[in-house]
Amino acid sequence: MYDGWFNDGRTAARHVVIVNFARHGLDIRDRDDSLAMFWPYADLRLVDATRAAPLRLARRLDPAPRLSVADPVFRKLLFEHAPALDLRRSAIMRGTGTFLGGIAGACLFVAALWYALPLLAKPIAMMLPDAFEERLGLQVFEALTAGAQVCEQPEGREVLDRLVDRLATAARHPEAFAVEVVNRPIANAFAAPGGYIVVFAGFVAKMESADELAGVLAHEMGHIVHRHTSQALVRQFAVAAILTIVTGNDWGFGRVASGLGRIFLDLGHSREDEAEADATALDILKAARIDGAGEVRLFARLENEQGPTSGFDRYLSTHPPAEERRAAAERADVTGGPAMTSAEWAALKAICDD
Amino acid sequence: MQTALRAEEILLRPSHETVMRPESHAIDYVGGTRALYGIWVVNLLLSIATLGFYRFWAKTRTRRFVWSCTRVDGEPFEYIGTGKELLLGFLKIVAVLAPLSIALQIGALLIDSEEADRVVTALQSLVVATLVLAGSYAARRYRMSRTLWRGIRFRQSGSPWRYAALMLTGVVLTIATLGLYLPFFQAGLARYDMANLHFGTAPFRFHGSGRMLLKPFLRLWLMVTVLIAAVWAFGHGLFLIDELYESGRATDVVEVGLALLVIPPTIQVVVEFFAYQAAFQRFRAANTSFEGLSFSMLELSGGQLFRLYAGNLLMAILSVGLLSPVVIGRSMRFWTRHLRMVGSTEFASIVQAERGAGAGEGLASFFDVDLG
Repeated sequence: MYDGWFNDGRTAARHVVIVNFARHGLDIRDRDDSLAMFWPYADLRLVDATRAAPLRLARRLDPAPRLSVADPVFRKLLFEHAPALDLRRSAIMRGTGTFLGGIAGACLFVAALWYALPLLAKPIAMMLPDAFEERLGLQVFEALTAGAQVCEQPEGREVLDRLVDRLATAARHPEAFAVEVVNRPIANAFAAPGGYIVVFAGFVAKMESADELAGVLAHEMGHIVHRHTSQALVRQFAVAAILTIVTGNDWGFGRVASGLGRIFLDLGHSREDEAEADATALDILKAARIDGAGEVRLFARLENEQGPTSGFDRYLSTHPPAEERRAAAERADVTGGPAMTSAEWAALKAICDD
Repeated sequence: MQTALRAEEILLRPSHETVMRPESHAIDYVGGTRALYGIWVVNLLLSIATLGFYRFWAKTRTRRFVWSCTRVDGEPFEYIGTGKELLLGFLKIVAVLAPLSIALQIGALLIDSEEADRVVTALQSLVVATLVLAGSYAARRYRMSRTLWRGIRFRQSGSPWRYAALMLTGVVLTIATLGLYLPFFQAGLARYDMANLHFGTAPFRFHGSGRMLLKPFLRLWLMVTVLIAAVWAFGHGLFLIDELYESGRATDVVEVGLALLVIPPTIQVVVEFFAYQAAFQRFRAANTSFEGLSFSMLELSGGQLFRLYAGNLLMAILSVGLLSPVVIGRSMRFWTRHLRMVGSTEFASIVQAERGAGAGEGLASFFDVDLG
């Protein structure tokens, strides 16, 4: 005999009852026998989420009423009569299942983002209106050239224009390219949507031959032809949105994981874009009948400068390892003539002189 | 011990216990920190394994525990919400927000002018603020509808959009009146919350008005004004020091003196702030009633509130979230210790409300979401 409380789920009244263990269920009746109920063990459901008293029971068939018994001995006996109610073991199994399933799902999810996302981003980027590309590119171009002088030495400019025309014809891209050399000692070159290419004076100075510069320009044209910048924007936007949905925005770990995930995915996709631009560059050089050995020499010098790429660096870099890029250029084996005469090259190198 | 006492009392009473003696009712929280850590660790592991997707079920598990450990007269509350409901609510919000934010982003990129940029940003902020405010009310409504006591559901009527509008106009009025509207604003919000709360078919009532908060608020407001004046004087003083410096006079002492000008008012503002918060909590409890029951928080002081919040903040920052079960337990014990309920009511007359009853449930239940 155990003392308990009964709520019928229709009013907030509390009925004092006495509970007994019968063969197939609980016998519940109140002091003057005006209430008499029988709750089969098979129909019982534990309501409380804690082992603190009182223990609370409900029925599966009629979910509203509640039975509470405070005595801790009752809980022990109840589990003996109705072992299915002891959820601890099944909870551990379910928890482990969720854990393993979660890890598997997470791996699939990351793989999907890695492989499937670029496939979707490409057509979307190609469908973006040209005006959008143009506006975006202009913003980037103006940001890169702000406060610096554009090199306009006439002879060098003419040589450059001729080279760009030759490459552009080979690239067969419908829009025109606008290539500018900017007088900053930065050893880098950038491509922006809409056909803008910015080469810094420091980069021109590092080139040892015109063929190398032609390769670099072709590489940047490759970025523009494939709309890599817009693809990257679409990808980053989609990744941010999807990761926010999955990891949630309100939890410290979620935000950190999401941030790191975005960085790694971004770098990985960026390396794929760079490899694609390299391949397109070699195609352009081939169509323009320019010797591809310049590219090989460029990557070989880069390889020497950077040294062997460690496994860690490999995943943190925006570009593929230099040795891979050199090997790919060697495999392509693009043969051809020089990009320009040595006199023209001298004039081009002096494009930033006043 | 508490349940044993209760059982004895029950034996001495008639068996159909529908009327309670006018008396003080016990409100307590019996959740142990260790048990909560058990839940928290499992939540953490599963959340990591699922890259955070488990959070809906984690929240549900925590709530079910905390609700079951909170008791009135020895009878615990019950949380019947599910992780799936939280997930569906979240997806609904995303389904509405995603196209909206994409449209706004594309719009911002296409329209290439500075005014348009500002308009778009302002519009975005307004939309987000409205959704967050409406969402917080919708979240509370969801939690109430999934809370039971003695098997009877709570219910929060009222519209999330109305609540968001109330919030936004309140903020505007508070700024326009240099803060003097704040007690009326807070009283208005408390009234909207409480007057719309029901237990079964019976409503809670709120009797308070902003005027009752005015006196404690004015002390805070005055101290803030003093602080602003002190900061202004400090800034001016620094400026004068620069001029003195050029004539080579001793400036270090003056700098320290100026700093002392600002520190006491700052401390006073903090003291008055917590005193006002305590006054607000007491005001809200004292002016809430349910049938024959009334509430109070008579012994709540600003100092106690400060210790609670400062302690929680310190633990949250220093432990990077590892002490959050401690924070939860601490807060629950604090509030249940200070909240008192007195009176009696005919519980048999409080009937379970029909599901879906109440005005405006149709469209509003679309946002039956919970982000909090």
